[in-house]
Amino acid sequence: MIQNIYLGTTTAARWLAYLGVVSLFGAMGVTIADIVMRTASRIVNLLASQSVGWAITGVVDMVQLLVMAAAFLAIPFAFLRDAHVSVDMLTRRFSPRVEAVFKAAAAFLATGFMWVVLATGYGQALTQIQFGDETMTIGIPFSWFWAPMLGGVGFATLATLLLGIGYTVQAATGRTPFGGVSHFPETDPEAD
Amino acid sequence: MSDPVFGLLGFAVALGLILLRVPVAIAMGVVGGVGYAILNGWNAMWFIMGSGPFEAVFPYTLSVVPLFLMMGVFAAHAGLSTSLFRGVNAFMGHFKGGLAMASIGACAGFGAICGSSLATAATMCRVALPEMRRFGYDDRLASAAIAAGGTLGVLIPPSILLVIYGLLTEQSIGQLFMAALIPGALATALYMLAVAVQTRLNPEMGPAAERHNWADRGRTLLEIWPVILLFVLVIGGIYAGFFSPTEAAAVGAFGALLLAWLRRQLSGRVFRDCLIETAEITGMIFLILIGASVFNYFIETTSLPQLLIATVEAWQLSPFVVLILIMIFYVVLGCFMDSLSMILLTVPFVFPLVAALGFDPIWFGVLLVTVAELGLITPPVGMNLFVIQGVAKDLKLETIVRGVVPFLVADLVRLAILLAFPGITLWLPRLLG
Repeated sequence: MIQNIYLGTTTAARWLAYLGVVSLFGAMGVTIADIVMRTASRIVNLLASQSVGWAITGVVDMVQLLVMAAAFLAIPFAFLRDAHVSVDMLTRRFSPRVEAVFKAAAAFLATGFMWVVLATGYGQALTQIQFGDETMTIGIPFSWFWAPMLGGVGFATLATLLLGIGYTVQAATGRTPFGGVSHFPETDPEAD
Repeated sequence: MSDPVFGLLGFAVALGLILLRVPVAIAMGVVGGVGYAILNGWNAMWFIMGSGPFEAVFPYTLSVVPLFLMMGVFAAHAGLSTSLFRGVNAFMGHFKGGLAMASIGACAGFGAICGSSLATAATMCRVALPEMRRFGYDDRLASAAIAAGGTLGVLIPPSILLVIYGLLTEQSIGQLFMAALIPGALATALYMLAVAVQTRLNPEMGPAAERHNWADRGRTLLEIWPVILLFVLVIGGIYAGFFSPTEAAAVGAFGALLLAWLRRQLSGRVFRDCLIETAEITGMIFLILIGASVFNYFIETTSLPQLLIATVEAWQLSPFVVLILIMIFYVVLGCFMDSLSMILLTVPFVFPLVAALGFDPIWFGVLLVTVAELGLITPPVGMNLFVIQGVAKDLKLETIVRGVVPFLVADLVRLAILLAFPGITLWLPRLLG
């Protein structure tokens, strides 16, 4: 059961991360399209007598939204890939099982932090949605900004909880958790 | 316990958690949240934990970070490092230690299109290390030249660290980039000097390779024009007023993607790897920014920066002595922490002190990134050392560490020069306004 949840979470996190990078491509594309249109206007204004002002309206709002999606959707994936910066200078001196105790504690601490961010963020998102807040330029509802944040943080909460359980299992038994599935290379005693 | 002392205690607890393998972002976030709650009540903490992470990611100016990251990732996969190494090698390879110098020169060139030190070191290691070994270079010199050269990626613009420092302290990213150019060139020259001194003392460390004729040199130069074009487009675009830093980053990311595709380096698998790498680094950096934002709320509440300023005034130390003490603090801290986390953790209370002492924030930014570079090649947490060892698995960490010592000396000499002559850093930004 828990193995399936873990596998499902890792797969979902990977696809969320891809979606995040696609958002980043979107931010890049919108910005470049805006530059091209502004440059074209300058050229037309220079060469022709008419005055044009081509540009993408609300490019800042769009880029903010797309980068927000990229950032928050990538966070759970980074947890599952052990990509978040940590210092193992002291803990790597211990046996794999003792090291797993430290990793489990760190993962549960991360779960607590992410859960508090999720719970408090949810409350504030509801308030902003009730007031109908929108961006100034093109009126993007703020719920669109909160959605990737709450989604990413929610998945990160689940991911860190599963990592914590996995490391606890490893600390207690010395075995690789979740039936030795992939994406858990660091808990393999052989690897340590 | 007074609030500032409580702030210092919070800083110590965060460091302690980091040493116990808690991710840096989580350590800063948890200590910041709990500390803020103790000082201001749980309701106040509840509010900042909801709004802080949102506001940490929301600003438009922050878009520059993931876009420059993406540029670096695509540049690393575009095969440009090979061309750069060939180009510099054609001119320097026939000197004693010339291949090591070529590695450093190529790292500097690669740093100009990739703001990441780790990507620069890893990419160049795959290209230059086998070549140096083929010519019988000492492993210490070969590996350390790449590890040290890789650090140039964080100083030479576009630098992610400078961008983050600029955003944290509200300084112009364009001015910071311009200020880092001459120190970056100085770093490159001093690293090459370190190679020259070593091979002069012990010629067997870096035998001369074959000399290239001028036709070869011309051909290799033709290969590196895309790097020059991308650099001029991105950095020149900012100064000519064509682009904002965010727009320049978008153009740079698109340019690097286009180059990788035109050079037929972008297979489906490589493209997927690029996406995964971009996602990992983006998630990592933004979580640190979120943790740091919560930690900053706490530090601001404790009035720790004001205590530091008052203490320094009470001690009546000369501002320059204080600055040297700050640099020593960063050099020591850099041995145990990665550069980005170190900057985010300390700038909230160090920067107000530096500003109160009357130092130029642009100059300090370049000094800060210079000491952060040192941390990348100082054990036990010198990330570049691990990257080199990760790529060349038969190399012992001790070998790289021993080889890196002359480059550390070069770094300290550079730091002393930059401290003694602020004009080296500030001349170009002042000239260009």
